[in-house]
Amino acid sequence: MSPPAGRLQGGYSVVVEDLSRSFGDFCAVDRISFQVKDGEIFGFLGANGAGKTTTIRMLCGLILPTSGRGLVEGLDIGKEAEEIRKIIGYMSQKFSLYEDLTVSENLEFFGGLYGLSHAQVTRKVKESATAADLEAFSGRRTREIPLGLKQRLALTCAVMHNPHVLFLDEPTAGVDPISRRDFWALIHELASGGTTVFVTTHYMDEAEYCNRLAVMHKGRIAASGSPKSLKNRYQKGSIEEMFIGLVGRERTADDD
Amino acid sequence: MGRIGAIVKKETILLRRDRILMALMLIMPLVQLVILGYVLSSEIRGIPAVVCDLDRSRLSRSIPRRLSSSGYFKVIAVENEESSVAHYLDRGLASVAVVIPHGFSKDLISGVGTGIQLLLDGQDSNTATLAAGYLTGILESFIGEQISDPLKTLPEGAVPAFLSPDIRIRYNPDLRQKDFMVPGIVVMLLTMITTLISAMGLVREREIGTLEQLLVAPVKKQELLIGKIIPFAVVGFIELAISLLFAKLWYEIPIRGSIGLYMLMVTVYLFTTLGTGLLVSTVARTQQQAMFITIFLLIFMMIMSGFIFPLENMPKNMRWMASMNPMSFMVRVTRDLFIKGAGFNPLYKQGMMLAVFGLIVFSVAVIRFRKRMS
Repeated sequence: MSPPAGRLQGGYSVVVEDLSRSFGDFCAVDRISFQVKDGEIFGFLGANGAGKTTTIRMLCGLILPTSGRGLVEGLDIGKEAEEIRKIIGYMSQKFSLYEDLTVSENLEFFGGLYGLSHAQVTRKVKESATAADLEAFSGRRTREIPLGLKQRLALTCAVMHNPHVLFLDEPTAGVDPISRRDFWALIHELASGGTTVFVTTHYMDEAEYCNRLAVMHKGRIAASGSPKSLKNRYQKGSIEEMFIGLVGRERTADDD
Repeated sequence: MGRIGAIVKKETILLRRDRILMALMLIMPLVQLVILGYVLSSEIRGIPAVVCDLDRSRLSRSIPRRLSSSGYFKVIAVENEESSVAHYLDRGLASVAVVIPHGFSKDLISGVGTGIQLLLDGQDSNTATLAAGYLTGILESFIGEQISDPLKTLPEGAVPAFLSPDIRIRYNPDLRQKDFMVPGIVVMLLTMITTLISAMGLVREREIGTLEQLLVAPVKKQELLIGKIIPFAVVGFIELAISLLFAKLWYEIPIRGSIGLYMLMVTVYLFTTLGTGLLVSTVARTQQQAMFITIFLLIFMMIMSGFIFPLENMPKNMRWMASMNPMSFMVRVTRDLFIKGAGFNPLYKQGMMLAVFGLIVFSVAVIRFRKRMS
């Protein structure tokens, strides 16, 4: 399952140009442009309401852009959403699992949704890094399992079909630090297998795990680059300090 | 088929695990059938009546007995003065008053002709109409008997023109009201449950966030909707089986037509009810909204279906609304098939109408459903 040659634009998995989205008078995303390289972990950093989720939904074809252009693996997000859906994985903020299905029923369902056979699902689950935990809890209702495992289950469901690009919308929200670290280990494993990972977060420490970052503020990209180059550019010791220096003062002034 | 199969399987498991919903869906129809079956079929009996006998003849004195023996009326008092009648109606002690005029007996026998005054409490127009009908019938046949009695010689020239219709009631000779109402209740239950469950299905997933996950999957919207709806259709059929069994065993409703044909009609009808539900879920954001919209629609569908209120009683300029109501066709089909034992040919037209409704509603729902979030 390699992407068709020539559709990729110079090694970029996601290319966004002047992308905007308004909801009535409110401009959630305001003419943003960025590129995500093939196989990298690209972090989208920002406070709540900065426009991260809107951007990720546009890239997944869930909402149409008001203006501008976006390509995922060379496919247009406005016109070729159906094609894009075949090659991406997506995990929304709520994890979107069926709480009344057991762990194995969820895996089975999402596998089936992506056209996988029972045997393929079983193999895929065995191969996954969380195989042991998923096995141990396989018969349990999803609502009863720990949040950290729920999240890894959602990730396993989202990558069942070996997507080229994986979109994760605040995948670690509300999870304890140990689980977060485990989760990031999984993300790195996926990336080293060649999957491009586009991840949004508002945990500043997680930004350090990314190859490159874009800091989003009020619908615009305030800064972008590798964690190291960003810290250097703004003369800060950590991403958190950099972020606060960039957007913090303004945000506290009109915080809701 | 794999994707649809996965959705069907998931939906079925979730439905089965929702114990409360399952219990509601199984118990609700039984309770409604038991209660509504009796309530809606209550034939009018023992209407309180007062008779004002101003004639005081042998003939007029036999009228109260005649009214009571019909079973439709219960004569609570016989008065001899017209002024005292109003009191019974005003107080609600009687719903009808029969005033027999002076000289009633004499005028009747002599062929001069006479009249009887009926006073009706029109608050409940349905009962009043029925009571008027019953009263007229009873009095007519009573008078008919008196006149045509060969022992009573009529005076010269007084030839009473009397037409006695020979009435034969077909299909439901005993005029069992239940045979008419229960099939309507069966359709009502089927309509309510399938429309509601389908309206809630997608909206629920939107609320808990799983819809988003389904939308990003490479599944065609037709596959998604069909997969969602198949288990709901199965629920509809289970529901129907329970109601039919109950109608047959408890109320002894005859099902004279072919069950196979009926299932075909129901299948066609389900496209309308499930499609309506889907259509609602493309509009509603929350389950609460979906519930309100569905109930709003269901009330119109039920009232204008001829299930309780005869469509013939609707004002002429409103009747087109009933002809736009798929439920009215289904009620008709069900009654004709059960009571008359109608086959394919007489039901063909209704079936086609149902198919057209189903196709339109379902297609609009599919077209309106977007694999996007708004």
